[in-house]
Amino acid sequence: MKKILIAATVALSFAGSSFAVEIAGGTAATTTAIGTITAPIVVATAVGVGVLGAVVANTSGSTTITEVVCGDGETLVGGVCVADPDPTCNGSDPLVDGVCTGTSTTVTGTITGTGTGTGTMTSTITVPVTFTYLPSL
Amino acid sequence: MNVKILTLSTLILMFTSACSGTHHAYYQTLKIAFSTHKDTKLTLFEVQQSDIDLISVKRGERPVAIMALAYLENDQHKWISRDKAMLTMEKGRIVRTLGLTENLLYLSNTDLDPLKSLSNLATAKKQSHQQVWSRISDRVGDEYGYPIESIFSQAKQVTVHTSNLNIDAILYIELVSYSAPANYLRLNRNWENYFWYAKSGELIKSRQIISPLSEPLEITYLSRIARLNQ
Repeated sequence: MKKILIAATVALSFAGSSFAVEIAGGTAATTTAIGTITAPIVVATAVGVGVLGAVVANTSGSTTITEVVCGDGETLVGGVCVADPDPTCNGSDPLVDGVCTGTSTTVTGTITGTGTGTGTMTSTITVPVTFTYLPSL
Repeated sequence: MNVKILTLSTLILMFTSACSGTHHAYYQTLKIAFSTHKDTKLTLFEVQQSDIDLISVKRGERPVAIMALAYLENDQHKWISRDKAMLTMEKGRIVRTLGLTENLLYLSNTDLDPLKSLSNLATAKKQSHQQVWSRISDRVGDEYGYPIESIFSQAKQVTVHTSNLNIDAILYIELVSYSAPANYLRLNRNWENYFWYAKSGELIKSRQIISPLSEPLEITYLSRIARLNQ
């Protein structure tokens, strides 16, 4: 019985010995490793055929460039003609020849006069002023 | 290599002679396509000096890389690469991968993997009959529960050349068949995995393909070989 136990112990110690001499590095193992096993592989033949095809296409092909011309009231935006937006003036200001005319500003003044009698009269004068500005789009 | 340089030179001459403004782009593309990367190699001395166990891994057509043993837990060896890909192995069998484009998520029935008894060569010699092993694998890409069957061939005496050493080894070939019906055309449903054991019973090299669409992984256990030759 004793011999069996000793033999079993020896067998178990040998069974565990396969790991005993091996050394694991934990997280430090990454820095010990060299090279990559995940790098993408470029298939040279496929690239060669692709480049050859590109060369053939570039040398034998022709390209016609069509210039886009927009009509009146349109602007070329990203290769597409887009209708110009309507210009607007502030309030009811009229738009004449692409320019807005405003009249809302007033200038006031005071005139004081003395007559032959004993009275004094004061009068305020309002002067309309026009100005022009560009309409907003 | 010479054929590649000749082809590259010819193509460059052809393309640049056309006075094309894009010839530089062609040149750069071809330069990348035909560039070759060197394998990473360590001398026996460098391997012996390493504080951590090392393996060399060649995945598909990529150059050889060195992976280090990160963890030994639950009877699994977890090897990590510089680019943080991980191979988890049980007695040399890849049972889980991380960080690759197509990862093995799960492998069932690993307790009955013949590799676990093959490593004990004394036992293996007694097992003269062919060993069959069935398992189910889950892979990234909606491939879950795919059955795989394999049969191990009789062992052969061979010599493994690595680290400038010739090592007498015993080679086991695993004939693998992917028996699941595929949703699309799949030609390579059968392949072979190779496992080389030193006479002392330690696995020193293997070449495994995880699934029909996977690239082969050739693994050489550098530290084990170094210890065998101390």
